[in-house]
Amino acid sequence: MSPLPFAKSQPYTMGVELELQLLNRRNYNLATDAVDLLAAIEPAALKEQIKLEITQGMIELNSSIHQNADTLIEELKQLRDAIVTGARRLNIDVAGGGAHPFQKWSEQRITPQERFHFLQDRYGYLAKTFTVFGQHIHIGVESGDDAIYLAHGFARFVPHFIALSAASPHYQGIDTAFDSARSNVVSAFPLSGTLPLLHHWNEFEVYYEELKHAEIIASMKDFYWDIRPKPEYGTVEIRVCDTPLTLEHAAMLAGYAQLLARWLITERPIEIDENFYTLYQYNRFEASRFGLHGAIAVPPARDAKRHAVRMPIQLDILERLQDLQGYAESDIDRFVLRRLSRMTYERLNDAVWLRQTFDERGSLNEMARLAATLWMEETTSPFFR
Amino acid sequence: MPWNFPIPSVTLPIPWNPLILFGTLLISGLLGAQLIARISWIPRISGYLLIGFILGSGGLNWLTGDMADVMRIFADIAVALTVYQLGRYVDLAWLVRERWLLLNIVLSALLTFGLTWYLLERFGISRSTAMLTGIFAIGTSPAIVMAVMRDLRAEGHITRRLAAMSALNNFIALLAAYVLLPALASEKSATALTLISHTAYSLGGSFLLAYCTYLLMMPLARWLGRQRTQQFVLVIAILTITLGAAHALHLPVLLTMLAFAILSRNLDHRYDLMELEFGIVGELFIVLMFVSFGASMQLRHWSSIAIPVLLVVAARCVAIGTTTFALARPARLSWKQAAWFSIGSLPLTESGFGLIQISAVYPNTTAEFVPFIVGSLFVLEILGPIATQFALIKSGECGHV
Repeated sequence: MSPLPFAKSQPYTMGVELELQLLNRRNYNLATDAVDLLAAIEPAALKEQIKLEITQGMIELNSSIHQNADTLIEELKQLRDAIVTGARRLNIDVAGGGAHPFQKWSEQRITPQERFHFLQDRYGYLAKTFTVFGQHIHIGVESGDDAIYLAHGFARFVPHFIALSAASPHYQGIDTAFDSARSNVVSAFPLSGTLPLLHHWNEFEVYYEELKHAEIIASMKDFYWDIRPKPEYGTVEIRVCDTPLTLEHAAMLAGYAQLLARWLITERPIEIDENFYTLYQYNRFEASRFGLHGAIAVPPARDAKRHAVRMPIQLDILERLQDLQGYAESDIDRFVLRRLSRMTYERLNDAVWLRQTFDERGSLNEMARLAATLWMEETTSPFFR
Repeated sequence: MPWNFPIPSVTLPIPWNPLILFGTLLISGLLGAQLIARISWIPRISGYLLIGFILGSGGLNWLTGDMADVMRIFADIAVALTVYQLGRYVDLAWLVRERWLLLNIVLSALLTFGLTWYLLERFGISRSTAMLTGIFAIGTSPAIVMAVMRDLRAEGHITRRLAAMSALNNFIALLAAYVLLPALASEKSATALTLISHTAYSLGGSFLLAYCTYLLMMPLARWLGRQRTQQFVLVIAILTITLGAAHALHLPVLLTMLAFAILSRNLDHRYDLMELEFGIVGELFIVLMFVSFGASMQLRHWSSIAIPVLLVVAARCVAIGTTTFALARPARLSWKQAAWFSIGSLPLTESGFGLIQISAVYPNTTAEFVPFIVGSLFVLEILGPIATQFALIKSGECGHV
């Protein structure tokens, strides 16, 4: 029997997890109501899709499996409405964004659950600094081998996802100069980074078993990689996105991942060799720091005998979106490509909106309040209303 | 040429002056709190109360003259700040959605009033005195609730409900006091018309002053921008002016402050006014406020008032507990949460402010019921901080965990 069976799922289906901020309505600092909010969710069946997170100012919303971005948006709206109704009872607000702009990590409270207490014991203060808010995108694949290839393939486009989703310019009360300060927080964990350079699922199983045997990990949950296979779901999970400020934006990112997966699995255009991850950290930094203004080192095309070249992230995304036109199967796919193209061309990620709002209103509290209003009352990004 | 060294004439020992006394008082409060802090289940503020009680009229009677005046000014500002902070927890839109909380607050106020009145009258105390005692038994102490919340860095569902409860039941108690006093008063020196006019003036005046303060504050807050430091000074300045104006105009200070805080929370739709944390400066005010409260605690005539005082305390506990548990399910509180909420609400409002102002107009009436309130305060100021701290820790909303 396989030590880590990979559940087969329908290829290119998608689902998302959104980690959300709970804010008190007095000063818009992080609230501590996650447990009470979960208890207040109605109908009770939706509680299955809403989860507690490591600290009590966070809550996670999980979609079910979708073929397209439009049904995903509809489901997210339904979940959003349930959360908002519960939140209003408790007099708290809910917001997207990758990091709360001025919370103090030391003031965060660990959620009273065994796993979270274990993480606090294991990681010390890092557990509380993990109060950051990401969007995880799951893409279904047919086999473990496909999952390994796709996980590596997605890594090439990690800067795209970071730059497009960046929504954490402020952290611990200051403008960090990063578009996505959240990206730096995860890097502190010992099992963060990238999947090892393995090519087949059975190699991965051996690796997994070794780590488990050495008691370095207990389960797949202990890997904090940017992209990781999720064998129990039969998916590959992209974990580098900040939670966007609006639901539609989250669905657009999932739609992009879906189209990329179709292309990557169908054409296998990327060679995963020993140099594949050489410039990964540099590219990741550029996207986190400069967002859609960054420039990444792009590897040479297959078989080409030349070195990597620096290319603006904006241009790299636009080229990819153009190429993916051939993989768009529906109107919503084409809408995803159009929307992301415009977002990229005009460099309109959420970090821009947050900085603009702070400049206009002059306070991080007020910025947090307006971000919450956006998440609770709007579906479309403010740049596209 | 003769050379004179200017030797100041110093009298030894150095006479006490208000500054030396003030510093000594602060150190005494800190020492008291530090000693009390060794017992984990007693909050720090109990130490300040204890020192106040030892130094005040119930003990060594050192806090008199200039010292009392200086301390009263600080304590007045501290109470104004506390009530302001608490009033800003009253989000009317939330209360409209969360009607069960509103109902809980109103019903527990009515039941506290009714039960106190009934028990005291059954005990042989005159109806008017029993009713007035009932009114002053309604309010939950803003100072204790805010100080314990601050000490524990409490934040959460029960904490917000407790703050809203404390602000609103004080609001109800003050309204009721001013409305019912003309009917219940036993003043021979004033006509009914005078007393009714006084009520109308007090209520109308305090709301008008609160609204004018809001109108004064908002343009200044907008002009200063969302700068934390500037807004902090602005709030202290405006509250001090309003406090002075309320005193000068003989308007109910607590009611004015509460009304102002609630207006500023609910009319400021652009959120120009920042929510302020009073930090280290706030600690100074808290020491003086609780030392001042402690100084006003008295143990006189205890043998004659012991039973009525116990009846008041029991009525308050039963009324708040019964209402909260009866409404717990519709309000979707667990039984445990209902228990923590009830226990946390027990501290009785320090009615010094209200009573001093009321006693100026109703000297005979207040003389009749004040001993019961002061006695109840004595009990609930000893037990109240412990109860509130216990409840907030048990509710899991304490930031130290």
